Amino acid sequence: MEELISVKRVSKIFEDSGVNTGGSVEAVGKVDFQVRRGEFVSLLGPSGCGKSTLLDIVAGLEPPTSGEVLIAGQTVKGPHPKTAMVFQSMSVFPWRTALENVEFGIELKGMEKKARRERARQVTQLVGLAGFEDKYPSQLSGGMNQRLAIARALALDPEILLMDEPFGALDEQTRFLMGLELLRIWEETRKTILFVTHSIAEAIQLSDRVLVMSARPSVIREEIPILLPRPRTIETLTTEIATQIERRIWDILKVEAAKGMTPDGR
Amino acid sequence: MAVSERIKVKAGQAAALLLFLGVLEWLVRKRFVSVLVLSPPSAVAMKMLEDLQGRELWTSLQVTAMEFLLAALISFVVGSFFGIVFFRFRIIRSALEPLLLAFYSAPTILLYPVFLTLFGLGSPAVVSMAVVLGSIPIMVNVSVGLAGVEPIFVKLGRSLNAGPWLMFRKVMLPAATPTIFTGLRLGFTYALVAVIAVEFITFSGGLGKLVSWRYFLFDTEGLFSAIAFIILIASLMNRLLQRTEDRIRKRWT
Repeated sequence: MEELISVKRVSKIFEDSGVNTGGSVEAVGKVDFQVRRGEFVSLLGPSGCGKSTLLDIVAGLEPPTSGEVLIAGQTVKGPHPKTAMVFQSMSVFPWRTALENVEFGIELKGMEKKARRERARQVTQLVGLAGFEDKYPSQLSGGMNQRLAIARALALDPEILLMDEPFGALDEQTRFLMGLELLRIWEETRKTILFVTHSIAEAIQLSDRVLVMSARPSVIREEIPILLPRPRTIETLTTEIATQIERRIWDILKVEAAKGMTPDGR
Repeated sequence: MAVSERIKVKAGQAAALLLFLGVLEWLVRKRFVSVLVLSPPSAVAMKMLEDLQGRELWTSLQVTAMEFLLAALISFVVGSFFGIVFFRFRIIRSALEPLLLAFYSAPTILLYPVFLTLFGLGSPAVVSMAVVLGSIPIMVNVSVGLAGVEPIFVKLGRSLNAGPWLMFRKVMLPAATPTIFTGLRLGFTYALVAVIAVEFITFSGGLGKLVSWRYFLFDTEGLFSAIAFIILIASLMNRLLQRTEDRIRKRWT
């Protein structure tokens, strides 16, 4: 399989923004990794470790201080047309109906009205929200709104989905079910997914590989292949192998999380 | 609120109003208060019926309405423009905001002689004074509204490579609409107050002039009839704006 995303010796230093930081912050150390076409890779790390910053760099929203990101062989200079992002918190517009929210991305890209209506209906159905097209986000649950955010990204038909803790605000059960939904959508559409999370269970549930990050400045501590059969179910996720993987990730993370809790964050 | 509760509230409001008018009527009829100071509500009501059938009230309303509409329109344009400028250039905002807020608490209406000397007696002076009062809340709310847009919405727009115009039209403007509309409601209300106040002080025309005219003539009934009419119009407008705002806020959250 070819490498679709290549992150090469990327680092990020935020210069002193003046707000009681007393100097620049090194968010991302030297990071190297690749994601192959069709792969599901998670960036897992303690909170505040700079994994979201790393995702923003891959998304072209934030320039790296050094190093470069290649998508399909091209250096990333701004948001790449082959990528679409799904965000952490409520990013759906309360003033738009479900369908209009799904249309937002393709509307900005200039797709003509009739075509985008149809496309939006298709993806709304794909994420399991058929029948809710005319509801407003306030009338839908948190999980349903996150489905909308995913549908909005899928409507763009990107090759790569960049997901920044998309289920972070959901309760554990909903989170697990949304994970299963995401896997189903992933199997159907064969997208390449780079997924940021701080939940070990979520990373194991979803990924082909988990990149475990260190505390700030974040580097990749270890790459852990998740050799569990697909489709992933409660059964496959509670086997002895799954538990061993979880323990191994915990062993790495507890050291890093402790570092993240010292006053200067190092 | 349940329907029955709403009916009770309405009934309570009506009862309070009737009681208030009743007490006034009683005070005047019993000669506790002179008829030169207060007219009995029943007499004011009769006068108002007469006014509504006459021409004076309506021609005055016409003048006031035209001045108000013009002032509201100019306030909207000027306020939005400077609101956007303020939002775009943070330095300007930081520099001018304290001055503007001081302006807020000052009785700005006292600036009317400036406009009188600039434009002379008449509608232009009335309208420009109203624009000064009306455009400030619009300006403040436009810039505050735009600055308060959820960062995640802006990030979403950026991730889709939205240019400045699309970002403004599809993200910033709709996201800021509730706050902007509050500014419009305040601005329009201030503009109406300013129009009538300047008309009243300068004797230039419209409902404000009608009130001061009747005041000088010791036409107490006519005075209160005109005041009641103004209150009625102002509260109708406020209610309309408030309802629209409530509807927007409900949809936007």
